[in-house]
Amino acid sequence: MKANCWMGKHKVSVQDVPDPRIISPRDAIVKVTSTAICGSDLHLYDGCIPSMKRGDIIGHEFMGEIVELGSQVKNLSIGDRVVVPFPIACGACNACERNLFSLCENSNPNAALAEELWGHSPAGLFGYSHLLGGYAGGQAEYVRVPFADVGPLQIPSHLPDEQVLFLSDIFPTGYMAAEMCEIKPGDVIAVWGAGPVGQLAIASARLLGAERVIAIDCHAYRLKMAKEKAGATDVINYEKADVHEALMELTAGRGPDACIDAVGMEAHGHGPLFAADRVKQALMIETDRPTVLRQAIRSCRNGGIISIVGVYGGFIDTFPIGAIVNRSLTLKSGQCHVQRYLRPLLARIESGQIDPSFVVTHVLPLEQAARGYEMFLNKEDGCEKVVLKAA
Amino acid sequence: MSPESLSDVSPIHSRKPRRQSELFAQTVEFKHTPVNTLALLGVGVGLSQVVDPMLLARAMGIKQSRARSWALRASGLVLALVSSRALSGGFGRTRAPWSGNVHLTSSITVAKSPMEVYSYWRDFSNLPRFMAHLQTVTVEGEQSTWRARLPANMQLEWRAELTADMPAERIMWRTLEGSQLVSHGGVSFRPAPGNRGTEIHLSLTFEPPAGRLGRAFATLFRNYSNAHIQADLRRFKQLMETGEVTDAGNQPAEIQFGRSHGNAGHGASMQEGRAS
Repeated sequence: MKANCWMGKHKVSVQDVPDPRIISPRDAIVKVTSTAICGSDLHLYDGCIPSMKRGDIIGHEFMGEIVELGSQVKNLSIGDRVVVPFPIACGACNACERNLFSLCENSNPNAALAEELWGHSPAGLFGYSHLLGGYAGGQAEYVRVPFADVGPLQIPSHLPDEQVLFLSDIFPTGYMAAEMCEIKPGDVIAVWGAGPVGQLAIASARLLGAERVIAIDCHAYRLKMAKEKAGATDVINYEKADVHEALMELTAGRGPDACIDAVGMEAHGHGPLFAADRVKQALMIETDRPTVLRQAIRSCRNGGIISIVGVYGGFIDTFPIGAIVNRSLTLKSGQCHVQRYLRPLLARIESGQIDPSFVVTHVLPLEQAARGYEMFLNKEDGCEKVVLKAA
Repeated sequence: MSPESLSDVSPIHSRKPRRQSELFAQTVEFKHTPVNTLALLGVGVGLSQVVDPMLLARAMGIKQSRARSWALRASGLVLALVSSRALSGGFGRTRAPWSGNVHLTSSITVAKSPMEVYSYWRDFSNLPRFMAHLQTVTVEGEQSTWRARLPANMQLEWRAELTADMPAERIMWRTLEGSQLVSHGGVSFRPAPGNRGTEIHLSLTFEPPAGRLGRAFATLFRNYSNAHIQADLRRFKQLMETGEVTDAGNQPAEIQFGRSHGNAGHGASMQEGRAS
């Protein structure tokens, strides 16, 4: 089959590789119809995520058709159309029992590696480094899906791929980001990053009743999409305005009730602190750049919530813990527990409350994955979200 | 392991050390081998050069100069350090192949009742499904025959008996007299707070066998650490909770490039397991 393989920093290539096969009775093989490039795939592309090996199949947003089933998967049939959540979860451990699926205690066979870095191991993920399991990813013609009796969600045939594909990651991730904000009537939410997750966080915040949502980015076309499609009430271009001042102006000095970081470890910014972070990252003194996080903490209203869904991998410096303690801020975060959002969010799509396909700007055949990564990284041609067609 | 259960599981700690382990222990003491004698001489010459760099130089008829004296002093320091490292076995020549018992402990929480996990463990023939060093365990009543895989197709076999069997609480075992290996182990089960299943504490002690097997055993166990039995317990948890040992499969590239990756699946060798 054809699969998109990580070949090193800024190098991916579609190669002929052996087809996956059923290993366990709880497996399924999915023939991929659509798959997407995630913002977090750019962290792999930029070489920021450790424990990648040359030739690893990447991609964790995918959907398709069940073509093979292990003997113990009773809830699915050959030919079913499914969306597959990016965290792999067993459904039986204490974490899964508590609906914390991205913390599944059994799905990362390389848990010892993750424990060395983070103290405890989270779940294994599709196509996202050996630290997180070493599973082959979804930017391929076929994918082996472990614990298929737990993850995949059947999709009614009348909904097109683009409307439901993002249930695999970015829609639930954006939704969870908004949910963590504990939105109450009248709340003002600020969202850093108007990439695909940021757009869906903005839309979700509106769905959950936020009165105003402020989008922050540096790309005019993304801010335009945030305002016209996602439902942002205000936008701030951080190349043109001081974010803190603009937020204080927009909220008459209170600050946003909650702040969403939909950017993560490779944030961009200005000033000496940002320059110092770039140097520290280059020297490997810190692994992640907390530019957005610092801004969010500084601007958030007293007693507010910081919701982090942008991916961070390691360590940061000059972290304003004093602001958190003295101003009663709450930090919430997590890789999305996708499985618990699948059905409620599919219901919202079916009832027409939201159509997440508004983020799609480019549809390419799987063979052109490398071009897709390049465009997405360099924000060429108004690129917001690339969908790859495998069949 | 909690102090209470540790003392319960270690009746063999009080046992007199076996002869073979005493023999292994002796090899760390100084021995008059040619290498050691040379190394001792090296330390002496090196140190004297540091203290009085020109002593040797004068004896050899070399003219005194400040630069030469510092050069000699530095080379003396290097000689002394290198020699002392050789003397302490730092280069592996005189290092003991084995220096005593291996005592390992680890623990894990499994989302099953104490009775369920006890019952699975109590059937020792299940142990090779999650303990990487074991090949087979054959049970005959209270006694059992255990086989471990060693490098170079060697096998180590020992017979064990139950020393404690408290349903849903504790199982303890030890090797019978005359086995190739002296080992004992214990596992305790107790309810985890908040209905989270069972807290499992495992303790294993190995004493190395003598002779050629002992050396093979030492190679195998030199790097055997708590991380390995933690990996064993993790596989046990996976089996109990999901019915299988988690396997990410190979990335196709690894098959193409002929690499195998670190999934400590069932049957993984004991050399892997520790995160590297």
